[in-house]
Amino acid sequence: MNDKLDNSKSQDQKDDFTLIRAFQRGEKASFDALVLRYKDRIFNLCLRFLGDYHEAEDTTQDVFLKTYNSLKRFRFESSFFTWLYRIAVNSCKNKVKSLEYRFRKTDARIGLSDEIFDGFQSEHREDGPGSPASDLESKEIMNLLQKAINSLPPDQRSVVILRDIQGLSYEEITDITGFKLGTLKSRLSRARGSLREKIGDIL
Amino acid sequence: MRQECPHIRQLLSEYIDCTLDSSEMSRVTEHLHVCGDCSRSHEALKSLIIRMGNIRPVEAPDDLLEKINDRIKGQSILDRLREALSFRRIGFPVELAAFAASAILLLFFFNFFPPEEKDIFLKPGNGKAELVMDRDSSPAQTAENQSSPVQSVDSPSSEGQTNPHRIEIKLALSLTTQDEAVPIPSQNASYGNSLIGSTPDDIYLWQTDNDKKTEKRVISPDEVNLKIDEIVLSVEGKESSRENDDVSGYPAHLTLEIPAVNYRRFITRLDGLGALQAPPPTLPEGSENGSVLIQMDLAPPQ
Repeated sequence: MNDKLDNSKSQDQKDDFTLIRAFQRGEKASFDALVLRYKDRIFNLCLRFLGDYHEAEDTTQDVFLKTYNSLKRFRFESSFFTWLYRIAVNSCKNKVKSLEYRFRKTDARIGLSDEIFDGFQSEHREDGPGSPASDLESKEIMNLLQKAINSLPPDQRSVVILRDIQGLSYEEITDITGFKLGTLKSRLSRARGSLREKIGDIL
Repeated sequence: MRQECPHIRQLLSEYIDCTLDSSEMSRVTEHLHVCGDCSRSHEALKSLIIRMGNIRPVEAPDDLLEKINDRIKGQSILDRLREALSFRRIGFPVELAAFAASAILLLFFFNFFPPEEKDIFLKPGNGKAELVMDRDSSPAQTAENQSSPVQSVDSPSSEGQTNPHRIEIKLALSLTTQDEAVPIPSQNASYGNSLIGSTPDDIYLWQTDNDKKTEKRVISPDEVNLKIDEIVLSVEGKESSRENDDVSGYPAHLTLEIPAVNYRRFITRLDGLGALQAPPPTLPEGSENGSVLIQMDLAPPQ
């Protein structure tokens, strides 16, 4: 199974490189293809990191704009996927840090928009998935979970999102964040512990 | 709580991810079998991780690609420049860049403006800028001419006057004289004297003795500048710049503003300096109440 996954990732990387080489030769359409391949993953990373649909949309645009401007200098020394994710994580961190963002972001705003609740699957409910009661409960849990994620320091937030929501491997996360493996493990452990303290009883 | 519980709980995150070595994995497993508290912590953590893993991805907005392409098209020149310079990438502080830009501007300022204009800019005061002439480069300002005719220039903004009429004049300097002359007061003038100079209070004539043989004499740059001072003063002019020829030291360019009513007198007085290269321009009718800005090129001596 791992071999299949590795093969799939290897193929993805080859496809990415083919598109990047085409872009570097001047084929602008290749960039569109790269956006379409990664837009959902990057958007979801931004959405969970920032906890706001519109901020996530803006930041995703920023990420791809930076990618577009830097892609000519891409040297194929790392995978495009980790390179893109690195841009995305740094963009999200900067967004959080930015004064503008701090000024505009209020607790009221963290009262999340409906789009963000859509991601939380209702399951194991006695009244069955998809029922109005379970949907309401799922949204409430999602709301609390997102608030708990928002309360984490950016470094912990990034590792927990990359690992537990996006499902990346430790190796990929160290490539993206630049953390050493030990640092990554301890930050992930602290982040999970913190989330469990905040919402563990509800789950 | 058992003694090893705190340590075991620290390992739970890695235990769930199966990233502990085999001996630690076994140790945690055994502990969870016998410790209810740690077992519940383990279940809660596992449940949280499963929950997060079950968060269904939200689709990116449909028009995301379109918006990205719009922003790419709309990228300003400044953005591209910023990206090209990549200050952050090369660790070049923006403050240093701003300082460098200021220095370049200052350098440009000091190289672009002639020395007199620099002084005007640098010595503002009460709406007036004092014109400080360098005595070395302007021999006209000698000790005997402390109340030089041209000492200050009003800042344009302080008066709100209408723009003066601009006139350009080219003049070939007369640098030699054949006569040995002696100044006499005008009241003593008689036939045979020729008018070649004046002072503000009295008119003096230069007496020549045609009976004496005189030698041709070259007029010095100081004398020429003094003559210019006198002319400017006599027409109530305000001189704003005078440039001397670097090699000969004779004045080569003069800019002054005079009342339009004194324009004729000014042209007449130029006879004492040299010969006009072209008929003097006439002022348009109705401009008598204004002023005339004269830019004069003086042909340097050969």
